[in-house]
Amino acid sequence: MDSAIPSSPVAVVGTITVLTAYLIAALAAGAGIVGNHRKDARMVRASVHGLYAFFGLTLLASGLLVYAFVTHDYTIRYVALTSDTTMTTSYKITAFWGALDGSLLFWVLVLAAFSSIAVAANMRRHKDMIGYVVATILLVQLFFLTLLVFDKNPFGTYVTKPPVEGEGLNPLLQNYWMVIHPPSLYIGFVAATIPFAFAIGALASGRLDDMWLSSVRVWALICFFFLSFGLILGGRWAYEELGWGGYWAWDPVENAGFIPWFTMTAFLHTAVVQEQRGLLKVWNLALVILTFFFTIFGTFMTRSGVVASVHAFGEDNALALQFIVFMVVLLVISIGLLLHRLPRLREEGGFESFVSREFAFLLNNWVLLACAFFVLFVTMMPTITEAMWGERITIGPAFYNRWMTPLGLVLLFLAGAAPLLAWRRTTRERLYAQFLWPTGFAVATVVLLAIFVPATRQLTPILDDALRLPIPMLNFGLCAFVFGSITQEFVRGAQARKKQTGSDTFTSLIGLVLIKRRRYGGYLVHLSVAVMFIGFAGRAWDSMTDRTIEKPLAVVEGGEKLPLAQVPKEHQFKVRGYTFVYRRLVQTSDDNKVATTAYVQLYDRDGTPLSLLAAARWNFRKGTEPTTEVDIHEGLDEDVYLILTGYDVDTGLANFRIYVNPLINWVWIGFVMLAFGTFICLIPLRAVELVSRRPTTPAGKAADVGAVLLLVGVLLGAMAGVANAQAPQGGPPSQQMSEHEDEVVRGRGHADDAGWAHRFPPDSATAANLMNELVCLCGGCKRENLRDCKCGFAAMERKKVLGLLAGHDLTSPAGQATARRAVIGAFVREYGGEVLVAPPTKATWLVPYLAVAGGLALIFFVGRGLVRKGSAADAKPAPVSAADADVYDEKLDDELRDTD
Amino acid sequence: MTSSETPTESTDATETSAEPGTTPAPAPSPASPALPRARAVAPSALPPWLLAVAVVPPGWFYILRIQRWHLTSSAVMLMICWVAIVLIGYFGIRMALAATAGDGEGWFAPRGEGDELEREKRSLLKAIKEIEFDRETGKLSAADAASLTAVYRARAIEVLRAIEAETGQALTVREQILADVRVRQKLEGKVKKAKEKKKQGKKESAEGGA
Repeated sequence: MDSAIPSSPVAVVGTITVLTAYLIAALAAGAGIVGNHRKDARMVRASVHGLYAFFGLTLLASGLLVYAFVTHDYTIRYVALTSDTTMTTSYKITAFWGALDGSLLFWVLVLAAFSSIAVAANMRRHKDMIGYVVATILLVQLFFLTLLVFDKNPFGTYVTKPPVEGEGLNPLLQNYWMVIHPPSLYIGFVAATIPFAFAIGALASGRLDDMWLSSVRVWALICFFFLSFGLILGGRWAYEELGWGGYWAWDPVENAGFIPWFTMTAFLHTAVVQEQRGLLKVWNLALVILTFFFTIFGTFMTRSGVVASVHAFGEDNALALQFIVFMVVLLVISIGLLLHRLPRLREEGGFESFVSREFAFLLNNWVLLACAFFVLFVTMMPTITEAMWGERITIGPAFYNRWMTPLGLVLLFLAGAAPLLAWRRTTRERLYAQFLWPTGFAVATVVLLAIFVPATRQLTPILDDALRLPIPMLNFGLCAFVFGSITQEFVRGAQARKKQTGSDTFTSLIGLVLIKRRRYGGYLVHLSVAVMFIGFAGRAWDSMTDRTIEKPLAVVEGGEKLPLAQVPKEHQFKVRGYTFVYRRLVQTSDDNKVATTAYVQLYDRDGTPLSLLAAARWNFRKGTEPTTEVDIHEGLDEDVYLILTGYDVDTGLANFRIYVNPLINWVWIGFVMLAFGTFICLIPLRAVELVSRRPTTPAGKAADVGAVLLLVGVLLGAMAGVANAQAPQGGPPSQQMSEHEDEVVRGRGHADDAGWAHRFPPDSATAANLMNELVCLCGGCKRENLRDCKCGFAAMERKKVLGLLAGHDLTSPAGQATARRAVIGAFVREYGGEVLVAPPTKATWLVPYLAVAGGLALIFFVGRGLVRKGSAADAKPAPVSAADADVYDEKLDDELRDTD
Repeated sequence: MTSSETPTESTDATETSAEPGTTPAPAPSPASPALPRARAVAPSALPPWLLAVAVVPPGWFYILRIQRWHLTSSAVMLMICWVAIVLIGYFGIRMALAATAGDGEGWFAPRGEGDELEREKRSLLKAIKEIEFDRETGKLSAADAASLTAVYRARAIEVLRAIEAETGQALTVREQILADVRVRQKLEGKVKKAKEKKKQGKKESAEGGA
């Protein structure tokens, strides 16, 4: 523990609280284990109360820390490092999780809250294993508290005189996304602990029936939702704030949240198989353990410095070692328990057919696991190569996309195909009947696109440079297949219910969704995935253009929506059919920063004024790196994304980078649908029963209508909130752009404030491809390629590429290949293999191929073993005596009538 | 959160006092009417909501008073801290008491066979309904659905038989309703007969008078 003597009462009380929490957690965990083992109810109840008391302690510690933030208690180091007096209250509160120490305490708080709710809700059902559950949760808490108490105490104080003013939160984090993105990801991570704790409780106590599964289903859904929410928010944040025109770059910290998402999604599917067929018990337990392990591994990646990322907290070897020890202990205990109980987890029966819903779910699981392990392996590859060969290679988004694209398309196909299959087996006739319309719709879509939208035929490399397929067309075809499949499910389901109940179509549809919430909520989630894939497909046609405008248009009559016809041609510039008119450059300032904003009027292809875009650059007085504030004109078809990359306040000169991103908003819309689908799955039975009671009074009917309107209003409001980007504010100016010597520019590293983004653009396709394949090694941008990085270093490297290409013949394919080899060879000789976006060694390239081959072999051989055709798995009906037959049939029919 | 615990403890107490062989309290003598015996009530025995109402608002009142009645962010944080302190105190005491008091009888009692059978019954019924639904939406042919349903029905019948043996309850819900209707009809029949008899009696007395 930090030996500094706290001089703040808040620090003193906070430290004592954390220490007391440590003690209570240890006592309660011990009581839980001993009580459950000895079947001593007193000890088990004591452990449960200890868990609730622990929650109180973490709440107190968190409350004190936030109190220190809002009262500017800079005697506490963490407060001084992450806040200052100029920050608004909301950012002071979010500074709680803004850095490592506070984020660990936040994790402990959220887990304490969730676990208290989970234990309270499930204690009666799981009395005989709740002690183990509580102990598991508290042992995990003890790990994080060990980090807090002995290493990362957020209440540590200054030994010498504390500062008068704090350093403030990183300006990139002073954004409203910071309020919701980290908490949502933390909630997702923490929610994975609850299923893990129940799984360990089941294994430790020997309660191996399916009861633990139904208790953790809600938490698994919560984990899935908040991980999805956190990932989408992170993407949206990157899109609005980082100014590189995209939303996902396979950054290691992003991947850390994505990996457990894959395994939790897999668990949600095979949990259904276990409930329906009693199969895959060991698989589900393993998935839950793996998901929790990946949340810890992801935390390890981001907090230990093993991966290089703009998000990472920094390098900390001591912390890395503690995490490694914890992960090893976690795996040993979990796998040990699983192996110990293996004989009792053997299943009766198996898969009867490849063409069955359970096999489709299993296939989906394998693909999801393949995605998880691929992303994990490639994320850790730079660290592995550095440890083994002393060379840290760089792997860019292009490599990830080449492998994740085909895997994603397989998942998309399964999202449409699995709902069409029956449990156990689907006969050939049924298969034809189920697949006819969705397949026809998909084929029709592909044909129409091929004829009327030739851009969809664009070839994209997957797996290897040599393999190029019309991925956009395949993508849209599969999306159409999913739409057709899900729509067919809703239509046929409503028709079946209508026949059963005799009600109208709309009522049947609502009743269907409410009664079969998990199935139809899941279908909505599948549909949302297809919608998001429409957004992903748009990346195939996005464009980036750099422009420099010497001076803005002088202010004239007509205000902001100046008719285009009145604008002189020399003040217009066009990109992808849009016309831009640079209006003015404005400087403003406040206590925090000086902001320079360029106002650009955007016009549609037919000259209609669309919006006044305000792209800015902010220079903070505290000397941190300047930030880019983009402005975006959003549309369902495409976004126009404007960045101010450089300017000269005296002359009014401005450098712009314009991205046109087709279909990108479908990604956000898809997430809103995913949220709605998950909400449907989470509706409790009691709520359905409440809604099912028909109102007989006018007031009751009016209340029903009001509730529906309120729900629709909330959903629309959420959609509007998610879809609405934060408008950038005006600001003041920065350094003037001037010519620099090559060495001086390179020496400045990643300094993107001097307007170098537009310099030395590619003048040929070969140059453009090379600039996409070479990484900027300025040391500040973290693996952006030369084309995208806006710094002077990247500009000089682009100049070098153009210089190397100057003597080559680029008119023929052979000449282009020779030129490419020469340029790549020159860069590799100078910088080594890390200058390439994709890993250079054959060994590295080989691994994904081997994995794919291994996966296909796994599917064939293991799947064949799992599938048991014939009557071996079918239990023969037990003979019922003639006297009993009618009586029990009638009783069973009575029970079935009451079951919905 | 703790309401699940309180009923259990009070139930345990009730069960203990209801057990045979327990000596009942002596009846008060007429000369000296029994006075209610004052007993110390442990905080843990009080309903949580009552404790919350009794302890939390005064603390909030005091915090607002020292903040001069301004609901600032620091005041809100202090109020949250006060709630946390109350939680710590309440559950800390209960943790200590739980470790020393009560015998926990029934906590680890093996679950009744009846519960397991009911669970399996519900699972089988759902599976049969799923097969019916798959048949109606065209995923399964009638023959496949029938053969799959036969398997589940056979097992469900076994489970129903086992439940009856466990609980001794022979009537299904439908049979119970039919039995209730029969009783009601019988009652209504009796009432109707009594009314007719009364009417007849009045008529006869009126005719007799005339």
